Amino acid sequence: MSRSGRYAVLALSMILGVVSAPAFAADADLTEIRKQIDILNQRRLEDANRIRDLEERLAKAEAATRQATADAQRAATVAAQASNAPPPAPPSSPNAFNPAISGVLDGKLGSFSKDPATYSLAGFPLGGEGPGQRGLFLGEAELNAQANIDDLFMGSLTFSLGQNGSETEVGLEEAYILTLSLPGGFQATAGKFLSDIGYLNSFHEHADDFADRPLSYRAFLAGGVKDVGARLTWLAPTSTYLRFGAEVMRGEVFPAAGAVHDGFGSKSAYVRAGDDIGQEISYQAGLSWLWTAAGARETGALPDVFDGKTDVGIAHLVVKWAPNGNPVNRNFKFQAELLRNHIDGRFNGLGVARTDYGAYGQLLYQFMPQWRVGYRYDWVSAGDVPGTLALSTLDAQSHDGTRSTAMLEYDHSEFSRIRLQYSYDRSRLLGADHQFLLQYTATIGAHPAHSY
Amino acid sequence: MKRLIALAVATASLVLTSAADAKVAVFTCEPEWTALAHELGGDRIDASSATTGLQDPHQIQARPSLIAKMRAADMVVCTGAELEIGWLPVLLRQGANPKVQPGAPGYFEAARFVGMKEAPQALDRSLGDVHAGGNPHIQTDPRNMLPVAKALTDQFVRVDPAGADVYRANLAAFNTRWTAAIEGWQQKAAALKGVPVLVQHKSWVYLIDWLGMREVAPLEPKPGIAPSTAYLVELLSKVEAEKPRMILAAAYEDDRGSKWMAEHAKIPAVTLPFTVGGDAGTDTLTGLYDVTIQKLTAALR
Repeated sequence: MSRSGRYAVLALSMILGVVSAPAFAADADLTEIRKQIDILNQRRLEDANRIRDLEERLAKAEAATRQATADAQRAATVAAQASNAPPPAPPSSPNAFNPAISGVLDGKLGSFSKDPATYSLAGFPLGGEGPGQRGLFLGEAELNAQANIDDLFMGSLTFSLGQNGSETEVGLEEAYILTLSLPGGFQATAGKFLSDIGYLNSFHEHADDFADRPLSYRAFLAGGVKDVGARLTWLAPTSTYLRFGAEVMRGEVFPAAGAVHDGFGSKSAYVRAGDDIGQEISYQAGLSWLWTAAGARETGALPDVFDGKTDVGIAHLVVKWAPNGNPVNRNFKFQAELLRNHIDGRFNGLGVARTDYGAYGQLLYQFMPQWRVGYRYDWVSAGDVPGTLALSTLDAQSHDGTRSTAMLEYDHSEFSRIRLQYSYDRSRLLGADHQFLLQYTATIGAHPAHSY
Repeated sequence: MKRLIALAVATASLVLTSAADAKVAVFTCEPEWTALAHELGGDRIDASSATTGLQDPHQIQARPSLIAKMRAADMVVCTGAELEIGWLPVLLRQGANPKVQPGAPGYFEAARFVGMKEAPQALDRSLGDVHAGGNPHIQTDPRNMLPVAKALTDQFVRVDPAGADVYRANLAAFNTRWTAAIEGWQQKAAALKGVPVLVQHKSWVYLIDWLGMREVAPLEPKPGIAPSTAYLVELLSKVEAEKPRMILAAAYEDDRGSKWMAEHAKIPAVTLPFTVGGDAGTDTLTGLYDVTIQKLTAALR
């Protein structure tokens, strides 16, 4: 009730009291009435005080509200300014420098008209794997971690996990450091790495265009040379790509063995050149040489023992074409390598010196996004053996191994691939083998960056 | 012997003088940065791009010629934001050039100086080939050239302090010209405001934002994954109600999806240059946006 309202009620009650008094009341009553009026007056004073109190509190509350609103507005302005300022430093975190981690998953389904467990490549002791397995089997799963170590080095570590029967085999695929900032176009690598000889050797198998390696790689390099060593390369300051490289390796893996020459068993040297021809064609060509020595190298189940030198020379050429140089929709790739393999030593204690040759050529065509077809022709030819080694593993009995392979591939994204491959294989001493492989390859984790 | 010494001296002096006159060799990942570098660097730089307007910058092979170019570069100018993640790291590693490694003054990523759009909430490859830093196709909005130009000028000055005055004068001239040009384009493109469009790949968010158009849907089911016909049929039935007016595609993209959609939705498929050199008349940055606006407004008629 407002103040004027209260006064009106008070005045009305007083008038009523005054008016009614002379009509009905005696003197005694007057005293009573005066007392009542005093009480009313007293109450009016109390009410007035209370009202003033309330008004003061209201004013205070209103001021407080105004202050709060102003404060809130000022805070909002500051917040808006703060959002334009650079973000605060992130909290320190021990995993902020985690390396880029990626994994490769690879599984296969094989069908062979001849039992792959009895496979032998006519004229060659095998240092690595054969054509595969019947039924479902797992290719190598790989786990890679890499990162810059500091401003001078980067490091890369790759494990491979293979399933062999009921056992899981852990392998060290690569573990190396590489310089990032040597002057003059030099780069040095140390550790365990894939050798840069040839073309295919420097790639992990899951990056290949076919589900298995060429026969010549199988015969001369056991699929590919990876060994402990050091490498120095020099990139020439020319407008045409020109790189020279040299490697020294421990000489622990096929065709070397036993880390002879005090742990410097293998050496290699190579040169690579490449350029564009117009906007649509690019190429890379190279010449490589690998010198190895083996001390008591054992291959096969029996086993065969080899002591001596093996030199491998490789010439390679890769040509790629894409309309407007844009490979996403359609592209074409030609790849060929010619290998010469020379051995000089003692095979099962019997002297042998001979030269073998091998080659493969392959064509790949991506005819629309996601789909590729490919064809590869393979050939290996073993040199003659002395009569003392007739009918040994080294004796191909004048049989040249050949193989024709066709494949169809679907790449759903950059990270997954399904491939169907058929080979007509005549690399055994006797008879032809029809080989079917269905394969998936998938990449998880860090985005892969592909070499040419 | 005397002749040999004379020859050696002549060669050495040739090398020295050519070093003194040498321009800053700039390796750019995309042609728009070549054009911008030339606007700002003028005669002091020599820029060339690893890709052309007809190539998909996501998927370039680390060709030998590019490694040789990387070796000779004084500066690398790229978009960044993971656009070149499939090939630039290989070139940087194999190029054996300490001057242009990330962190060195010779390394420049344009996307670091632009407000990025579409930074994903979750990083999962089931969402397609997403870029953690956001959509990297920043060059489709000419306003983005202003902050990039300023940052690139600063970087030129760091690499080539002798040319500081030239770079700064070029930047001032560029800013004036560019601000006026943007206003001109915006006037010409006024009719595009609110126009609903389909896009082949999510390449156009910055362009669409600039001109106030509305993206209805991309034709790709996931970034980097080509649409199947079945998917396009489904998409068509979903977007018909929104009445998209055109389909935007880049010059380098496979045009089967956009052609199919154009035929069935009865709307034009507009092949935009996407970058410098992506179409006739787009040899300069100005030409790029001239042609883009002209093609868009033509499709509206």
